[in-house]
Amino acid sequence: MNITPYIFLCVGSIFTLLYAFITIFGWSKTRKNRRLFQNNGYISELNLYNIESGTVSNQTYKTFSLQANHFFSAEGDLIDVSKFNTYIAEGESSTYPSIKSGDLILLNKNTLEITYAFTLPNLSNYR
Amino acid sequence: MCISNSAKQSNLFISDYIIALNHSFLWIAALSFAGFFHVSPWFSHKQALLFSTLVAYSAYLCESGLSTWRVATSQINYFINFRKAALWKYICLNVAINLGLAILFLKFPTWWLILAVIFTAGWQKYMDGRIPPRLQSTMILIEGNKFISKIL
Repeated sequence: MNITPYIFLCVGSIFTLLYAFITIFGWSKTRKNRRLFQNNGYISELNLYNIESGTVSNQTYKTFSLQANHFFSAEGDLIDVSKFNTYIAEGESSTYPSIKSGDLILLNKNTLEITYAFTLPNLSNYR
Repeated sequence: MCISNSAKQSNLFISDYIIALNHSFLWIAALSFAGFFHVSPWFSHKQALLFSTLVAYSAYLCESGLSTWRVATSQINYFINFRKAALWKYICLNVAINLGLAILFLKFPTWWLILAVIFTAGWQKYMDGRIPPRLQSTMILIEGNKFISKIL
């Protein structure tokens, strides 16, 4: 009995199954990674704590710390403060640069601390 | 490590190693099947010629999938519209023509029909090369500027 055709058939079948297995699970993992990476850029919740307020030169201010519920996709991600303006006061902040409602703030992706804040007209400088 | 960076590294590993490994598995399988059709006593010479050509053609089809997969893994910081790559309907047309020619060859085994099957494989290989640039034309950068473009 000639077994050569069966050897070719077995090798072909085994590697076809391997190919199919790796493709299905690899593609699934790729899509999961893409979703994970791309969704992390969106901040759905931002917690402010250690809020303190006061008045300096007739201007009210608040200092605060930030904690977000996601990591950021890249350092320099921008958050629209107006979406979280409940706790943002107008005026000078003793801890951070002047942040007004509607300003954009730049966060450090690891510490989640504000590294820079600017208003929309200055956005072109960043770009 | 940040979750995002972990996902990015994972996809780069898939792009650099797993897809290459899978590509080799694909061709080992394809050449084994081609060898099977030639050494097997159950197929005539013309059938073996047709089926081994079809095996190579199927491998080209799978390579198109691998090309798409490679773009998806390596370009993680882009939105990609896979449906608008606008190649899938041509690939389906190509498969239909190929199968039609293959059936015709089984009925009327002439040299020009097998040559036509080979040309459809060439057409498929051309489309395989066109997939990455077509996908790249649909890409939208999301990293960094994503939030800006969302709110402005």
